[in-house]
Amino acid sequence: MAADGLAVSRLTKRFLVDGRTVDAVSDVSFEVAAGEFFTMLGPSGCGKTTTLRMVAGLETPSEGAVTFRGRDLASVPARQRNIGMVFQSYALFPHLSVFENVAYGLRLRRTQAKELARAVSEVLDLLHLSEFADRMPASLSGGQQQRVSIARALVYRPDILLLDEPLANLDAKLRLHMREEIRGLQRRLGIMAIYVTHDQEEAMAISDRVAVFDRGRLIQIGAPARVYSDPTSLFVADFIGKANFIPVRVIKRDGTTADVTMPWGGLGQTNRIVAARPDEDRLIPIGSDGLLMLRPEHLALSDGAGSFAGHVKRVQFLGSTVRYAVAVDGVAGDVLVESPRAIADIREGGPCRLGYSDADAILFERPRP
Amino acid sequence: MTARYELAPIIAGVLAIAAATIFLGYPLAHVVINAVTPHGQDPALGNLTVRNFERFFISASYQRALWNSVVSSGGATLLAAAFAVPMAYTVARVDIAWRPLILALSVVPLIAPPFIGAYAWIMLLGNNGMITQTILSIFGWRLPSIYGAFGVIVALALSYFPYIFLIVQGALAATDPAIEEAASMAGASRARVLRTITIPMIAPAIGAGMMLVFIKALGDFGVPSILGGEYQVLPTLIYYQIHGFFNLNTGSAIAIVNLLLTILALAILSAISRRQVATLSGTARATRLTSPAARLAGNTYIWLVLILSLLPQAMVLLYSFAERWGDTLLPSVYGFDNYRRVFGEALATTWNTVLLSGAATIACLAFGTITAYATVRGKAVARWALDLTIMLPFVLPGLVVGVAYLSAFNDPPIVLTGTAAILVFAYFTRRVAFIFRSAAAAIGQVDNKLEEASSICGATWGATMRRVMVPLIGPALIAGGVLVFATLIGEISATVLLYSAQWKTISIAIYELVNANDLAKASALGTLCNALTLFLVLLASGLLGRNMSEMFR
Repeated sequence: MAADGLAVSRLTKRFLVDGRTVDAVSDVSFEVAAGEFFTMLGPSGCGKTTTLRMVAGLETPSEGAVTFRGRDLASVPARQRNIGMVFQSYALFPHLSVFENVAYGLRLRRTQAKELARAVSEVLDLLHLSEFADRMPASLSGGQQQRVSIARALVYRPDILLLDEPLANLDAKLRLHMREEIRGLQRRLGIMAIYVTHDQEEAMAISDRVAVFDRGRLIQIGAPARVYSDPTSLFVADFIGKANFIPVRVIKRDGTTADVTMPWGGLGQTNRIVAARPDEDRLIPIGSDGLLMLRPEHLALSDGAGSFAGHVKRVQFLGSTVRYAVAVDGVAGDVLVESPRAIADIREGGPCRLGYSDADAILFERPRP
Repeated sequence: MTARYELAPIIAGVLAIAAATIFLGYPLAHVVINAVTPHGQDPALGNLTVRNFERFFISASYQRALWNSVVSSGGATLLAAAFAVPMAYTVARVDIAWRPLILALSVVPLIAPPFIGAYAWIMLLGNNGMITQTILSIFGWRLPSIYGAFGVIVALALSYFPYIFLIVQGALAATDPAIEEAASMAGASRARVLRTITIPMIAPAIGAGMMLVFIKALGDFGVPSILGGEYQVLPTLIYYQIHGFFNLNTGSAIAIVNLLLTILALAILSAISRRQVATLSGTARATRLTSPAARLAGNTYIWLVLILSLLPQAMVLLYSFAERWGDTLLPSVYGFDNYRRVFGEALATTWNTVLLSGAATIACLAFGTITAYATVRGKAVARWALDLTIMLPFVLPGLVVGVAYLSAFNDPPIVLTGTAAILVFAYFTRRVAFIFRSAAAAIGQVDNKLEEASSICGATWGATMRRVMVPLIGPALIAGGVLVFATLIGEISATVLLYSAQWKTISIAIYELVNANDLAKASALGTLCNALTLFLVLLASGLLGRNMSEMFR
């Protein structure tokens, strides 16, 4: 990797909880390039925040190393890493004004008064906070406090910007706005950003690359589009976007393609599908049960042709798309189908057929209960 | 339902005003009238005088008592802060063992009546005290006399430092740890974070705790009366004026000065409280210092302060079992002799205490809960009453309550002197605000919608109270009641002016034994008193499911 990036290698963090050791993070490795917007995504308790805090220097790794620009950070305390950090709770200094909150890092760096005033007002401008410079944090709205905490993290031109669920405490509309603002700011400044969130849509929308965490492990890393279209595990398939899982049995395998039977298709009838990517690990043995993943937008609904039959339980108009909930024999729960527009002759309560293209289907091994 | 909401605050308002008038306004008015009436005369328009206050300008002993009160309370406050603040920081920010034990032990000095600890200091540091003799025999040094400013300041500081400790520790625990982390991410060292972020953030909490200690110390009678010797402070001066010279008029004048001083401190306290910075209490845990040096220093400091503050109580316990204690460092014969000797007295006085405190507690519970319900559910209507009553127990030093009740209820129309009622009312006045506060807090936590849901289900108002409200706030009320009862067991500063031979309490019995220098019997009674109090507080904490330390914060 480039010499100006960040490398996290084999990072592990063990905590002692009630006398037992628990791996909050186990064996996590990744690299982040200069100027990249990198997001760690996962449900709460998956280890993403702990990983971020180890990069920050706020937690000491049990094993593994964090290297920045070729230098091992193990012996560098948080305050000397020149990293900016935005906390979920904003963590504004309650006894200092907005100006002083932002100026804090510069005062520690013994910046001259004139330069300090210039730098602070520049970053306040950047975040549309100029008129609040003299206000106390408690008198600001959540969104404004959020911006102050970003300004405070950026003012001393850190090498890395860390953001720990920065939008979690904002309302939905502001969240959409702020995430664009953060992404725009990061692009403009060309700063390396590491972002933590549990919101997969947010991660998709703003990141160059996404790392998906589950129970302390990094399980998939890649560009958002790639992670969405090619999940390497059932967990990622389920966590990112919406997915239908159809139980199947594998009866034949040939390279990267497999033949499966579908329980609703009648005895002996097989569907030949491409078992996703040429990833040998994921090819499951003949005779075992699998789950076929199909995204709602990859299913086609018609009253005539299609691989299998169902009946329409509900039709929801969502504005930009129409969502159909279809009951299919042998599938627990509804199969969701999304279409850009309403499909003629498909009515609530009526029969229908579902079709898909083999290339869109991904086969996973069925987890044993 | 609506009608009841409108009615409730009115009922509460009337009740509160009636009670405040009879138990507070009327007695305090008497204090003022007595203070401006010449000694030995009946109050009348023609003989108004400021003579009773004059002594503060001409009498050296009065000036000294005023000065001593300020100095001993101020000194105790500073010393208490020196004990408490580093201790609070250590508990909150250093990775030390036995945190719950430390928090529980730190409350004990608040639970044990201060005057019981005070005479233990005589056993330790008096002329023939354990420590004095030990140091004399080993080093040949003679320690400064425990009597006077030194002893009073040390004993007060060690009795009241937990207030600062608990408030500051609570404030530190409630601050978002990310705030300090943000400072270190910005480049600040530990020391810098402490100086520029942590201390400014908790400064209002430190200030509030210190003012609380100052107010408590200003009103304390037991400690200076036992350890003061010739060193007079305002409460002891009041006591001697009234007990020694039967001069209620000058007593009243001193009480007013004492009260004004307290009110001044209270005004500062409320100004500080308003500056309290609100911090988001996150679920995140603070990262604690784990270095061996920090742990060693923290543990050493904490246990030193704790041992020092618990030493007097331990001493009382030890002495109570000592049957013979000659020139040796420790008693030579142990046994239950002291307990046997105080048995009769203990039984009678404990019974009195239980009756008086019990009656006062029930009165507090009934009155405090009703007014709290009306205030909380009546929305903003009686908010001022809430504010006033929160401060009430602090405004009035016990001795001032004593003087006020002596003045007011000695002559018709209401004559209560020498009865049990006067003690019950005095206790009620001193503690009702506590119940009001706990009840208001508990009721405030019960969502209004629960009551609405209950009545929509068809419950009458009474049924809603019985089936919904009472089960929800019951534990808090019982715990509050137990706590009030427990703290009344050691009440002395109001009792000492108001009790009569027939209604002698256990605290007075101990006080008399100390004054008669019968420390062995006093220790046995003191241990009983401490044990009873501690047991009740533990009971309350069990009922409430909360730490002892949380209940005193």
